[in-house]
Amino acid sequence: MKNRVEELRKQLNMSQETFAKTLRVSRQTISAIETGKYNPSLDLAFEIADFFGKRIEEVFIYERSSQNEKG
Amino acid sequence: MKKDSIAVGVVYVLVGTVFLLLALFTETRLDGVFFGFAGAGIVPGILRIYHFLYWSSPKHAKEYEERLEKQMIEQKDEMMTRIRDRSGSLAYTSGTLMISFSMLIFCILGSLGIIENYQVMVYYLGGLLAVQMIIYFTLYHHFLKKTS
Repeated sequence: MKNRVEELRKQLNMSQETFAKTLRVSRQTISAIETGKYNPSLDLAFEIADFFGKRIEEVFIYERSSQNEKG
Repeated sequence: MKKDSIAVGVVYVLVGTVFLLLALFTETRLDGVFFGFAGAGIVPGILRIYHFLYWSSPKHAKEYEERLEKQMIEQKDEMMTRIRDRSGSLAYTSGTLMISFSMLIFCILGSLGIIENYQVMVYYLGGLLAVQMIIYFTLYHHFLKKTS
């Protein structure tokens, strides 16, 4: 899932390590989220959005796949 | 570091030493097992005592706090948990296949007369496979019930 986590984190001049510690997750998880290799749980996605003071859909961009659109 | 960690280490060393003495001063067929228990007790026990003394010293206190915090985070981290679960699932599947394959190999080798008393191995492996499956299905239904 595409997201703006890296962009928003860098706007705050924050390292992945510091960001991870603040959210109480590992640095590897933050790295995997930012590169789109891992989709966070709803809880974590909301925590990240709350941290940046944004709505969840402003941080995570959900792209519907063609499979999901079939009735 | 918790003080009972050194107590556990001392107990490990003592128990290991008892087994070592049993292995050295008795003549039984279980000497190999006694030496094994001795090693399993003494080595981890000494390591535990060493770790306690190292991490308890004031100059390592800050490093220990950071290490502990990192460990706690990684233990509860959702991505790490998912990776561990997935690894466990694949290891379980691999183990099941290996046990099944081993049973087949023992049957073939026994039937060809290459090994004797192969039935003991086959029954043991079969029992292990059955217990594994029972545990799996029991847990699966337990967790499924919890979600409904």
